[in-house]
Amino acid sequence: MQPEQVILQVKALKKYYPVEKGWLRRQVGQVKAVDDVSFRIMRGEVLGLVGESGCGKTTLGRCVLRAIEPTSGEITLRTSDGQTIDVCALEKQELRELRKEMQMVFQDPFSSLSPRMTVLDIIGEPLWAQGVRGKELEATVRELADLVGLNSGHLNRYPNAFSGGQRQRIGIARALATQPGLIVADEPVSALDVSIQAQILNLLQDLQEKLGLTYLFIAHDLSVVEHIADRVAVMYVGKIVELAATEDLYLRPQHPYTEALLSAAPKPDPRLEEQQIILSGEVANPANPPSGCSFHPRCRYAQARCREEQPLLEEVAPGHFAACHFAVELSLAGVAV
Amino acid sequence: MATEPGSAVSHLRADDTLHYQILSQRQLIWRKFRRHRVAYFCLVFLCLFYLLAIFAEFFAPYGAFTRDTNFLYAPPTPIHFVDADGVFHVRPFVYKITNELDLETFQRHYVEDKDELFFIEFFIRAEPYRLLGFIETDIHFFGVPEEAAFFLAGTDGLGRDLFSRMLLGARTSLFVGLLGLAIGFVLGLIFGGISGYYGGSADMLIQRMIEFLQSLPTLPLWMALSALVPPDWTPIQVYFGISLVLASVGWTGLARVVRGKLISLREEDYVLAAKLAGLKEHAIIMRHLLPGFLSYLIVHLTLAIPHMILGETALSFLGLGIQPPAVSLGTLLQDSQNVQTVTINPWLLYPGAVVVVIVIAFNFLGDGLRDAADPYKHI
Repeated sequence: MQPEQVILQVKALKKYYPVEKGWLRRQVGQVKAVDDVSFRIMRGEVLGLVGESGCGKTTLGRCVLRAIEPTSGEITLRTSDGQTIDVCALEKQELRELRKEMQMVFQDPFSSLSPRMTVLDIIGEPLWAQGVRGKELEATVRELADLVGLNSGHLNRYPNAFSGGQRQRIGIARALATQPGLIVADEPVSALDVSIQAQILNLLQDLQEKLGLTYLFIAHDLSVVEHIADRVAVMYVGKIVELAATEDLYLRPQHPYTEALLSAAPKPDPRLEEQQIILSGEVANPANPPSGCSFHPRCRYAQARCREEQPLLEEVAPGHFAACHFAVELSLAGVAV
Repeated sequence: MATEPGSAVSHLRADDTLHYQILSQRQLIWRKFRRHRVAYFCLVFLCLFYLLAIFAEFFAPYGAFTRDTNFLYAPPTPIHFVDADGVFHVRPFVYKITNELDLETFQRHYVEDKDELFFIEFFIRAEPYRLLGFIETDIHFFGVPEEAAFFLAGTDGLGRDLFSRMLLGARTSLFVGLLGLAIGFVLGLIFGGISGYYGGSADMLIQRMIEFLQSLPTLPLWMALSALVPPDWTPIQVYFGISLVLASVGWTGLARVVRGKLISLREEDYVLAAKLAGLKEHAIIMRHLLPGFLSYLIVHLTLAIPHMILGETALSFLGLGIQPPAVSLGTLLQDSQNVQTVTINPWLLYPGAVVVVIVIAFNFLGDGLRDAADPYKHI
């Protein structure tokens, strides 16, 4: 891979939330929502990001867009005209100008659309922010509506006249308005009916191919990611524990957590149910993570070393990264893609 | 029907086909408000009352300081339609009133002289005054010829017409409320806005300040603050000072409402989307945050006006607010601070009734607005 193909490079990204207590807001600890995460995405690639609720996926996605300020780390974005920009170092004004390069599709199609604005205003908002007005704005919005399969005759309606799937199309149209290179899709289908999920996934995939988009696709459902992602990163308690090409990850998981996640995915054959790995215990508390490997209290392969030493994300096979001391020794069960 | 904007409202037209109309939030709120009969009536009533107060000199038959020493503590003049001979008159009239001193009790009695009757005339020329402070005229809405006396609500101890004074006093009280509200509104928006939008230590400081202010007993605080109003101020300056006093205590509730709404709206995904769209902060506030709680603000303001009016009345009643000779409903009530009023001159309590009616009307209006503006309530 040539370096100029990298559209987004994230290095050692951290987001710690302070835990404050008492009248004087003494800091008594911190929640490590995103803890030292590094990865990169190529132009035109879809990177899936999976993990349980509360593992920091959404925080990571929002930090990348600087919707929330990361505590530390480096985010480098290559814009459409070939410049590389350190997103973290930007001032407010510069950041606003960069917004057109990266956009977000939200999880909840209800709360992400203002109930007081017409669809025209909602989709056109990023353009409005760029100074586009009047007829030009309306024409662009019409094109966008056609692109995502919305009836462009309904643009003067308010969002409550639309179903969940249609609302999500509105959200996608808004994200596409400024022709961004990178789109962070934060569980874009998890709030939708299963039948609608496929439609929206197909739409996202078609758009990606047609417009050459790059997605950071966040999901908690491996089957959704399998459908759309080129590579998949698995997160657990603020860290990436495994990162590999989709097929590779599914067939040959190298981290016990990934194995457990894969086995938990529903299968059409009930006889396979017995092979499901039920994780014992709760997800580790990111405010007080266990020593060593965060996953060791729930890992069925855990050994003494796991309690003491934190594993690093290492390349265990070409293009396959895993953060497990025994990644090479263990032979974990995958699933056929 | 939900008050979410864009709710399609279907109705049948003459050709019996179903038509849909897309309404904005404002239209929906208005439609819903109009269905609240009591609130709608109160709105009309209050509008009329404010008109009455603004043009008080026109509607009042006498001036605020016009004295008629023949009529001290005169009761309300009875209005008649049927005269002593049993003849019905379409126009209402009053009899000439004469006063007699009861030599046993030394009390004045006002008796009607049934021989002389005077019709109540409309648009009558009487005392000159300046309408709105600059139009010089002498036309009053109603009145009786100079030889007769007509006191719709009786007179006070100095022989001044209470009805006229009530109208003029209501003007002071109603507008003290609005002025105080305007000041309190600005204070509440600024402090609540800082508290909710920026959060952190500023929020903490402002909230503790609000708790402190709210924990103080209101009346002593008002009294202490009114004591700061210099005694040599003109009535207008005092008026402004009292508004300031009321506002300085009254903004806390609004600040809380603004803070709460901002905190909840700030977390909405669509606000984040606007930020990601590259909107400037003030554009986010104007396009997303303010419309989100504007309806609540209106309701809150409506419900806050009666507090201001009551505050002014209470202060003036205690002699700490607007001072005589300036007229307000509170200063008028000062005259009724004794047993004699209740037993002999009960009409001096009328200004109290006016306060009650205004406050109730405002409360109903606020109630109706709240129901109309609440998007989560369906009919």
